[in-house]
Amino acid sequence: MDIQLKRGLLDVCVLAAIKNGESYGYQIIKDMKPYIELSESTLYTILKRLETAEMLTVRTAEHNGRLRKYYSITNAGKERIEEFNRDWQEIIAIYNFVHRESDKID
Amino acid sequence: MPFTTLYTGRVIRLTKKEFLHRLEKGLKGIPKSELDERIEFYNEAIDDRIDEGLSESDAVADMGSIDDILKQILSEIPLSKLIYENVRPKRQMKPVETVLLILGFPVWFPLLISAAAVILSLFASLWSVIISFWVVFVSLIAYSIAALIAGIGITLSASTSVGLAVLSSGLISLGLSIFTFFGCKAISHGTVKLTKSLVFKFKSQFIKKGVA
Repeated sequence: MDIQLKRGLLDVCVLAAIKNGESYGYQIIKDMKPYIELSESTLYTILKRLETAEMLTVRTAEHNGRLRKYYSITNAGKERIEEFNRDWQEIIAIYNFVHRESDKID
Repeated sequence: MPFTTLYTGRVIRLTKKEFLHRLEKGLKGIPKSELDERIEFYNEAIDDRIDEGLSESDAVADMGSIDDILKQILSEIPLSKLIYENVRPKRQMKPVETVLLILGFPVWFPLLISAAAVILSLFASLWSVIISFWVVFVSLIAYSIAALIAGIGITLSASTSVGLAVLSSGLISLGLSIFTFFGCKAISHGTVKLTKSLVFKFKSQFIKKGVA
């Protein structure tokens, strides 16, 4: 898959993973696992990018006597998911067309 | 993948402390704040897995190989950041060093400029070769269009034999341009790839990948 496209898709996946309440690194990876395998390094890069874009905020809290980072979605992050859903309708329409046309030739 | 592979090809299991230590050693070239943040991130990731009941070495193995992690970080971090971090003095300069730096300015400054100029001119000449190939392609296309139009015109109005000769030279030029196009594309593509891998090698000089 095109690397730029995949990057954008993974961003939305991570946003979706924290949409219904804050979460932390390992929980995000576990939630995504049935659908997409994500490495810690990749997740780090995505979280950093989303933080810089102000689509999520980070807070550090104590857990089991150590520190853990929790990520929550911002309005800009929710807006990004909405945008993705709108774009996707368009992509599905294009896909259907491509699929139908290539079926005709075969 | 239950094991972490090292450069040597040996397969060993690491404790959290060893893993983080190797990562830190491998990332010496990146800014301190960023290094700390990354180490903290992996620390938390490993602890979370241990909390879930994984053994320490399995939790570490879940992070993937250190080589891959280092490679990924290296490709993501901008070159300018690496140079800045490694050129910046780590401590206050002694007065004698400052004096030497100023006195030595007529020596090191021209050297620096000429080194940069050499690198720049290498890239400039490489790309001008590529541009000239593309110019050949464009002129072949332009000639074939002109020759086709002129050939038809001459055939109809003046001499048939001259007209056909011009027309056929246009067709030959068109055919050549198709070959040139694929050649140009391959050369441009190859050069972009070469430039990318050179930048990556250059970056590797800043990050010590001494894992073992």
